[in-house]
Amino acid sequence: MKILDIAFKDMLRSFRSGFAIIMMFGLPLLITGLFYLAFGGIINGDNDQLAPTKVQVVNLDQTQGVAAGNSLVTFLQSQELTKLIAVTVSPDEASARQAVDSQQAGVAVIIPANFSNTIMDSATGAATAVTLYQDPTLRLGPQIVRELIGHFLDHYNGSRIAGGVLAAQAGKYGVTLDNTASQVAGLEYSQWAQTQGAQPNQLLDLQAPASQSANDKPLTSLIGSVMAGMMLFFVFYTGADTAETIVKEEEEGTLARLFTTPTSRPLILAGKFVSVVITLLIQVVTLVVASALLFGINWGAPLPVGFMTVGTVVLAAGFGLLLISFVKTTRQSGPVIGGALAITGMLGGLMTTGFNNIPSFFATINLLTPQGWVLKGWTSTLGGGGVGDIIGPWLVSIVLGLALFGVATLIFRRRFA
Amino acid sequence: MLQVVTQPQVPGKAANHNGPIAIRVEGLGKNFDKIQAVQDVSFEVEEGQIVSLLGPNGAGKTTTLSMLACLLRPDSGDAWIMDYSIKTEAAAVKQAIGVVPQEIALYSDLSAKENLQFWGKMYGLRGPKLTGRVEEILELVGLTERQKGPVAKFSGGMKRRLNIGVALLHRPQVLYMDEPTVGIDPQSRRNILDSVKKLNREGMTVLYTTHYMEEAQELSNRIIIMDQGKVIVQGTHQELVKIVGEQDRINLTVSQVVPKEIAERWHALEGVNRVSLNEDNSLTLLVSDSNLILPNLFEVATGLGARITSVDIQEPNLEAVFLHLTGRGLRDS
Amino acid sequence: MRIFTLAFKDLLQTTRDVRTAVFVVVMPLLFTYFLIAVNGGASGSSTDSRLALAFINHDPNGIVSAQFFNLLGNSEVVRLGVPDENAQARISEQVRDGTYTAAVIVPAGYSEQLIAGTPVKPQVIVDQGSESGQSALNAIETASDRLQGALQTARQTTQTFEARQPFTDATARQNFFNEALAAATGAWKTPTLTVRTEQGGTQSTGNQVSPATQLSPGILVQFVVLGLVSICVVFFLERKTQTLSRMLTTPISPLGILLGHGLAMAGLIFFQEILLITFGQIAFGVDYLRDPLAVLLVMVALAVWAASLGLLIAVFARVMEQVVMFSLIAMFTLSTLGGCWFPLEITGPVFSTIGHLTPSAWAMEGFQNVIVRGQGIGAVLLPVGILMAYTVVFFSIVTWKFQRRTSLNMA
Repeated sequence: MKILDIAFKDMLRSFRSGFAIIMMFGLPLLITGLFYLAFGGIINGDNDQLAPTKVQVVNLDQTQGVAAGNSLVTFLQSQELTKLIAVTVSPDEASARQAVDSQQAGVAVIIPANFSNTIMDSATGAATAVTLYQDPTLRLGPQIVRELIGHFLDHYNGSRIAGGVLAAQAGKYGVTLDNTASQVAGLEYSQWAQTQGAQPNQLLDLQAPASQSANDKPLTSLIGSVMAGMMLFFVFYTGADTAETIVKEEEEGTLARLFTTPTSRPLILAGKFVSVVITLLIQVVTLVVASALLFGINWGAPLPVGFMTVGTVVLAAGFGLLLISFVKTTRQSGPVIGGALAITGMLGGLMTTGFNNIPSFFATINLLTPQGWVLKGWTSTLGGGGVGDIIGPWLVSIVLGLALFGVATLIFRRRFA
Repeated sequence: MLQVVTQPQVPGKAANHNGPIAIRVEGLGKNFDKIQAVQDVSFEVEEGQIVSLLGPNGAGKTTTLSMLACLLRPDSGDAWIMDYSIKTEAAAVKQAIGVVPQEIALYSDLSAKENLQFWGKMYGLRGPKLTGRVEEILELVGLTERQKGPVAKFSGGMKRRLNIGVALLHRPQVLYMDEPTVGIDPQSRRNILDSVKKLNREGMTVLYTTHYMEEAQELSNRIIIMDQGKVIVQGTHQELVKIVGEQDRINLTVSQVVPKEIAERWHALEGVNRVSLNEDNSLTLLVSDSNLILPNLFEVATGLGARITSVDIQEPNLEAVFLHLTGRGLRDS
Repeated sequence: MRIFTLAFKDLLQTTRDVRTAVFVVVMPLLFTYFLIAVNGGASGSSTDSRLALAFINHDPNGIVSAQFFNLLGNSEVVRLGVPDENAQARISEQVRDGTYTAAVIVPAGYSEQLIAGTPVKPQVIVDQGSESGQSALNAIETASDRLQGALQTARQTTQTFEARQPFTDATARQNFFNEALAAATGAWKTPTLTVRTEQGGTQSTGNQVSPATQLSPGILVQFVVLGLVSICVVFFLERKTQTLSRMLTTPISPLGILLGHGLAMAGLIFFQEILLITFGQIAFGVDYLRDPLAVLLVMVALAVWAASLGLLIAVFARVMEQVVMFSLIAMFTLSTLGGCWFPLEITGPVFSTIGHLTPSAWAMEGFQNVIVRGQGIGAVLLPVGILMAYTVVFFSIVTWKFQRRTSLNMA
C-alpha cells in the first residue's frame, strides 16, 4: 500500500510540473508535427503540393522550319506542367545562368544551337545535350525538370533509333529501301510514343516494401518512423527524469525523512520504480493514441503493440534508474541524462528514423544500445509485424530492463546502506 | 593541559530516576572512514522530559540523533527507544518517534495538506483517522487557511511550522528535533521554543539538539553536553553550572600589548583559574570572585602598558561549563 | 568596461559548468560527425554513390528480360545487383532495411508475353516516400519506357521488312525480331539527345552535393540554440538570486547588465561556431574558407542573434526548468522550420514559406551562399541584415521585459 502512496506522490509531482509534461508529451508531438507539416501531402507522391520550380529557358536553336528547340520550349510551357514548373524564357545563356546564381530561378535549361540539326541529321550520328544549370542547394525541382526533358528527348531518340534500326536491318538482309522509309519508321514510332505518353506508369506493378503494409501511405510511414524515434527518445528521457526524484529527494532532505518513518528502504525504492513504470506507461499509451489520432499513424496490431509498450516501459525504467544511480546531485543529472541519452539515442537510431539509405551496418550498431532494441520492435509493429516478429526484441527489452533495474538497485542499496 | 571529562561527574545523577525511561543509550559509536564521529555515548531520557544535546558544530549531535532515528547503523553500542532496540526493532522505533530534521524536508511542489496526507500514510495512518489528524495538525501549526497552497510559496516560518507538524502526525511518544531554530528569525524561534514546551506539557518526550546554550537552558530538564563525538558531561542546568564552581567569567579586550603576554601574567594571579585566548584576540578568564580580582587585572595591564578597552562579567552558565571542560567557547569551536 | 567584466564573469561561471562541455562541444561535434557519416557524407568520393537495385529475373532465358537488364545497366543512377535465392525470398525486407533501394522482379514468361503483345508488368518494390526511392523508380521507369520503345521498334521494323520480303518461316521471323530488338536496345546506350546537369556554385560537376554541406551548417545552427542553455542559466540564476539586485546597486546601468550578459552569450556561441566550422572544413571538406570574411560575417550575425534569443529566454523564464524547456522548443522549432535537417525545398509550400521567415533559415542561407553556391560577401549581406533585424526586435523585447521585471529606469 505504501508503495502506491509513494508512487502516487511522485506522479502527482511530475504531472504537476509543466516541464515534465512538455518533455513527456509536448516535444515528441511537436517534432513529429513539424515533420508532418513539412511533408504533409508531398511524399504521398503528390508532387502538386510542391511549390513550382522556377525554370529559365534559353533556346539557342534558331533553326528555320522544323524547330525542335521551339517544341521543347512549348512543351515546358504547356498547361499541364504549370503546377510543377514556372517557365521564363531568357534571351541568352549568361542571363539564365545569372538568374540561377542569384536564386531568381532554380534551374536554367540551355537548348544547344545544333539541337534541331542533330535530330534531322540522321546520317552523321552526331550527338548533343541539353544543359541543365541548377542551384546546387536544390534537389527535387531540378530532378523533376530533368525527367520532363529526358522524357521529351527520348521521344526523338526513339524515332531516330526506329529509323536507324530499320535501315541497318534492311542493309544486313540486302533489302533496298527508299529514302523515306527511315523517316516513315521514325514517324510511326513517334505516333506510337504519343499514344504511350498518354498513359504513363502503366508498365510497372509498384509495391511498397513489406514493412510499410500497416501504413500504406508513404507519409504516414515516414511520420510513424519519426514518431517512434521521438517517442522512444522522450520515453527514455522521462524514465531517467522520473528516477531522478531519488536524487532530488536526497537533496531536499525528504528521503532521509522517509527513512525515519516505519517504511523499509527496499519499499521506498520499489515505490519509486512503480512511479517510473506507471508514468512511462501513461506516456507511451498517450503518445501512441495521440499520434494515431493526430497523424493517422497505424502502430500495428494491438497484441504486438501491447507487448512493445510493456517492453519499452520496463527497459526505459531500468535504464533510467541505472543512469540515476551514478548521479550524486541534481546538478550532475542534467549533463549525465542529457549526454548519455542523446548519445545512446543517436547510436540506437532514434534520431535517424526519418532518413533513408542509412548504411545497413548501422542497424547492427543500433542494437548495442537499449534504445536500438525497442526501436527494432516498434519498427516491426509499424510494419505490420505480429507477435512472432517482435518477440526477440521484446524479450531482450524485458530481460535487459530487469537486469539494469537489478544493478541499479544494488548500487542504491549500497549508497543508502 | 586540558582535561576532558569523559564520564558523568554529576553528583546525585542516579537519584534523579523518577519515571520510566523513554530513551536509553549505551556505548553508542559511529565511524566515518577514519573519523570517529561518535564515541561511546551513553545517556538516558525519562518519559515526559525535554533533554538537550548541546555542543558546537561537529560535536556528533546529529550523528547521534541519526542513529537514534535508525537512519544510521551504529558501529558499536545500542539504544532503546520505548524499550525497542534501534538495531533489531527499527520498525517499532520508527513508529514510536517523530523526527524534525534540521533542514525543511517537505515537498515544495505539493500543498501543505498533500504533504501531511503523504507523510501520514508513511506512518501508516489511513482513512478518517488520517483526515482527522491532518486537520488537527493544520490547526496546530496555524496553516488551516493556507492548506491548499504549494509549500514553495510559504514563508520561512510557515515552512518551519509545517516541518514540525509532519513529525507529530502519528502522535509519536518521542520527538527528536535537530537544531530546529538554526538560521531563522527571533520571532519564529520564539514560536518554536513555545511549541516545544507546549508539546512537553502534553506529555511528549523531546530530544533536542542545539548549539545555542540559551535554548538548552530554557527548555531542558536535563542537558547533555557533547564535544568531539563524546558526551563530556550531563545533568540538570543547576548541576552543570556547579561543575564550574562559583566561578565567574570575565571577557576582556585589551589594546597596545601582545595578548599572549598579558594572559600569562594574569594566569599567575591568585584567584584566576583559567585564561583563554579567543580568536578575536579578546581574553576569557574564569575567576573565583570577579570583584576581588578585577583591580589586580587592571594593575597588571597598566604595568605592561596595556589598556583594557572592554570588560564583560558573567555569572556561571553553560558556556562557562563548556569552556571549563574543553578550554574552548561553544561558538568558536 | 564593466560590461566586459560582467561578460567575463559569466563565461568563467559557464566554463565551470559540465553542461557547457556537453552541450557546446561534445554533443554538436558528435551529432555532426554521426549524421553526416550516416548519410554517406563521410566516405570518400571514390566509392560508388549509385543506388543499389536488385534485379530478380524469373524469365531467365527471355530475350526481352535480358534487354531490360541491359537498359537498367545503362543508368547512371542505379547499380544493378542480382541477389541469390536466399536473398530473393526476403527481398521486400531487404528493400525496407535499405540493403537495396528498390527491386525489379521480372515474372516468368515475361518475354514471350510481351512479344505476343500481352500486357505484363514487372513488379517493382520501392519506397516512393523516400528521395532515393523516387530516384531509383525514375531510373526504372526510363529503362522500362525505353524497353517498350525498343520492342515497338523491333515490331515495326519486322513488319516493314516483312512487307518487302516475307520470312521463310516463323523462326526466321523471330530471329529477325530478336536482332532488331537487340539493335534498338543497343542504340539506347548512346542516345543522340541527352540531358547534362551542371551544378552552380562550388559543385561544378556531378549530380551529388555532399550531405555535409546541408548538415554541417544545419547542426551548427541547431546547436547554437542549445549551446545557450548553460549561459542562460547563469543569467537566470542571477535574476533569481540577490546578485542581480546587488549588481543594480552598483554603477553599471541595467542596459549595461543586459549587454554584458549578451556579450558573454555571443562570445560562447562564437567559440562554438569556430569549433564546428573548423570541424566541418577539416573532417568533411565543407568549404567555409573559400570566403573567410563572408563566413565570419554570418558567424558574428548568428552569434549576436543567438545571444538576443538567449536573453529573451532568460528574461521570460519563471523557473529554471523553463530555461531548458524554452531552449529545447526553440531549438527543435527553429531547426526544423529553418531547414537545418532537410532543405526547405523538399517541404510543402506553406511550411517552406513560413520556414523562410525564420532567422535560422537566413543563417543557413548565409552559410550555403558561400559554401554551396560559391558566392562572396555580397551574397551574405541580406541574410546578415535580416539576422541583425531579428536581433534588434528580440533585444527590444528583452529590454522591455527586463524593465518590467525589475521596475527600473533603463536609462
